[in-house]
Amino acid sequence: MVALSRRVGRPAVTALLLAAVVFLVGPIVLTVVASFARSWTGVLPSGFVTLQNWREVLGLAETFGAQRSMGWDPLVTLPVAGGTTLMVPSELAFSVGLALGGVLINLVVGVPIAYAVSRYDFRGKEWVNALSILPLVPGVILGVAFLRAYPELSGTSVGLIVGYSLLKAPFMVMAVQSEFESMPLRRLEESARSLGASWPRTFLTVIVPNASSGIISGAIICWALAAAEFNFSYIVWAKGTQPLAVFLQRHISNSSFTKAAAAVSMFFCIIAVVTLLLQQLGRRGFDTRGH
Amino acid sequence: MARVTLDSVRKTYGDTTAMDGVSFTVGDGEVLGVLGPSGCGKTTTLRSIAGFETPTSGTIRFDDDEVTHVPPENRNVGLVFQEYALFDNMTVAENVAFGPKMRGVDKTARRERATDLLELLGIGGFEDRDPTTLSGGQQQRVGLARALAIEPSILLLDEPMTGLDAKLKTRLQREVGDLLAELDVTGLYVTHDQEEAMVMCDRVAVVNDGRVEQIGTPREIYEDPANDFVAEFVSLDPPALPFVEW
Repeated sequence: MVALSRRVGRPAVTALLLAAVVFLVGPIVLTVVASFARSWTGVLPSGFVTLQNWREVLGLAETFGAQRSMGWDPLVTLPVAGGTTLMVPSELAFSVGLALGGVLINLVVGVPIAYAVSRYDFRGKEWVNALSILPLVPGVILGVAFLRAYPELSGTSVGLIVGYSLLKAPFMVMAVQSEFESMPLRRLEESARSLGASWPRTFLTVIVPNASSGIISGAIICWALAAAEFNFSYIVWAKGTQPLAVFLQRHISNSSFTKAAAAVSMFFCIIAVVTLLLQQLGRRGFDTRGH
Repeated sequence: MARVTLDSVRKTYGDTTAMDGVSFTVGDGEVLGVLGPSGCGKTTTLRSIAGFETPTSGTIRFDDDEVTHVPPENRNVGLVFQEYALFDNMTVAENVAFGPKMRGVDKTARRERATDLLELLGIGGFEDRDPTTLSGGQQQRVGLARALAIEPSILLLDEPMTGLDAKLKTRLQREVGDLLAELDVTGLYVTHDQEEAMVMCDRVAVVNDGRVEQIGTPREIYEDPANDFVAEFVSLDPPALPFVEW
């Protein structure tokens, strides 16, 4: 039996895993490849290699009119030695920042909520817990309700940021809460207190750093979901710099496949870069090993 | 180190009474075992001495100073838990140096103290390790070193050996017992394991239902139990089963 499972079972599981990975990764690879193609009419893209799609998506193409039609406003230009101008996609940075703003609010609000719920028994604990998970409603519904409740926030960046934080708060709370619950939270706190640390100092130098992996993963999940949140962005956003999800949708619905492919690939890149940055930042920030 | 006195300490939560007039004195340099079944109030006793619970009535004194309402960070109490509760975001040495750091001891001095203590506890050379890479016994030694680093008035040990395997437990009991005696530590050793209490402690308080049933040397308690509960709980053979009618 052992021999049989080793001879057949393991290769079968490996093959299944490989097939699943290929099936899932295939479209992504094809998209990235297509973003460097001139056209994509059949199954496979053709006309390699061009950077035109990427230049237009990144707003580096010469024709500003084309960029505008894609929803890109003129970029900030920085004078660099030799007369060349470096184009900085400030709008892109702003869009990334919208989602990061939501994450920031969630860090400030979500971590204490998760702490309170996992550490203390208090009246209404179940309610707080339920309430922090409740915003798992579709973005459309929250978007409409949001506009009704705070019409003055409609179309503003603040509105988007607050909305993202509301929509994605449950993921932060859940990630951090499960981290808190997996460690001897009360014992850690009592150890630090008995060693002479005040409560705020205990929270900041012991509790939060010990929960760092949960906080980092919560932040990454929050950011990625906020950046990809289309429904809420579409309803609340009115003018000015576009949220990433709206930018993506416009590219997909208004342009050629290859250009859409470049936009999607860029989105993948941004997700990857921000995830790595958050991870690095988290590790640095929480590493209190003094040297 | 100090003498610690509890005087008729009561602690109630709503209708439940966790401590029902507990009085005892832990002499300077003495290790008092607090022995009892789970839910008997021994952990509440420990937490009251540490300052995490405020007694409903009664007083707690360290030497002649009343500390009943002093917050935990100002009590100078060392804590060792069953769960170790090491700070995983710090190295072993930083864990041990945390208390001195909070007390404003400068960097070289506290590093030196940490190195000495780790050496004393038989885990010298582990200073820069991540505590999560250590074995259970090693982690518990780090926990002990961390608590001792503040030169506490009293060292409170809450079932510190419970998670360890039998062989290691026996060795650690002997080592830690010797160490506490050598350092002249005033200690409160909370456990449900009568054998451990007998080995580790100078005197033992048998606690049941929030009350101290008997207090005395292990020999006194074993040879002359004050009542049926004590007799049954400390009898080593058969194992204590307080809820069974014989």
